[in-house]
Amino acid sequence: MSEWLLTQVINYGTPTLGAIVFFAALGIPIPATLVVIAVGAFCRQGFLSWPSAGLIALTCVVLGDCLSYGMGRFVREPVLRRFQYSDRWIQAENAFRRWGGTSIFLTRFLITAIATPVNLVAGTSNFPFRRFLLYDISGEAIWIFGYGGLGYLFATQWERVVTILDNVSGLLLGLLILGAGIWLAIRWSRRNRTLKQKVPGA
Amino acid sequence: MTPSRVRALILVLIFIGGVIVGFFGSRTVRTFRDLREPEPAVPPAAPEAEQAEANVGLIREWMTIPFIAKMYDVPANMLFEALGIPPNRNREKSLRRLNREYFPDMEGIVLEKVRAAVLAALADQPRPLQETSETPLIPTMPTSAP
Repeated sequence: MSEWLLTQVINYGTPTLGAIVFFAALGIPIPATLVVIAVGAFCRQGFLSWPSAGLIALTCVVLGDCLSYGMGRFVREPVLRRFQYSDRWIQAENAFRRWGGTSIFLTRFLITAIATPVNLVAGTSNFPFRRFLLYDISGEAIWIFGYGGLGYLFATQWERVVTILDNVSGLLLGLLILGAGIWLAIRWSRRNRTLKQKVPGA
Repeated sequence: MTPSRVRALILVLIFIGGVIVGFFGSRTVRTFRDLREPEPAVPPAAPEAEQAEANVGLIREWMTIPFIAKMYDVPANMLFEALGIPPNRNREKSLRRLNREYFPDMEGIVLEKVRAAVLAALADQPRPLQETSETPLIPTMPTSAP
């Protein structure tokens, strides 16, 4: 798959890059990060121009993110009906309003595997669109120019960069899950201790 | 959520997180170590032929002939000639696809032939003048006795 995509990028240039990042932003499992890094290397080798590649990629990925955010908004009503405006749902919505910006920003370039679910949740939880756009553009700019810049910097060694970033991204996801487990365990044990103090002999 | 479910969730999160961290952590360390190790390919002082050979190692099967030609600054038609296939309608095909279409029984032959052809073309190219300690950067005027 990734090899086929690379062949298309070298054949058809920047429009292919735009299409790849757009569909990746919609949640279609495409190795877009690999393509972005490779394009950085192709720019260095003179096959593509980096300003146009960067701008087109940024525009397309932001469009894809906005579309998936819009999909989240579209399903908001059915989801709300399903959860019947429960307290938990409102709590989750408030939590996303508080932490949503950070998660939107970080999932653009650090934990890209969950970027589309975050877009959908942002739309469903009615996260303000302007704020979404602001965090989205900032994060995606880091993804496009940062990762593309790495490809540009390492040029012929870009494949090694891809391997490292793949592993680091997986490591971060693992740390996130592990951290969530530990945080939950600490919270649960504290709650149990408080309950025991309140109800002696419990 | 019941306490037993919370406990199960905590255990599952810690277990899955731990496995992922262990797996990707070891791979990250290994790749960083590989990156820090010197390239086994060629020392700078290696003969030119050896350097060129290491250089063509960068050719991959997803690349197309015009891309490789531009990458190494060699004529694309010469590479097509080396493969014995027409350039028409083959310019946008990857080496893998060319291999599948023209040499279905010989896996990897196109890659090998292209590498050899690029290597030969690089060897034929005129070499740029190399500076040595004895090569003066500015021609010196012969000193004449007054």
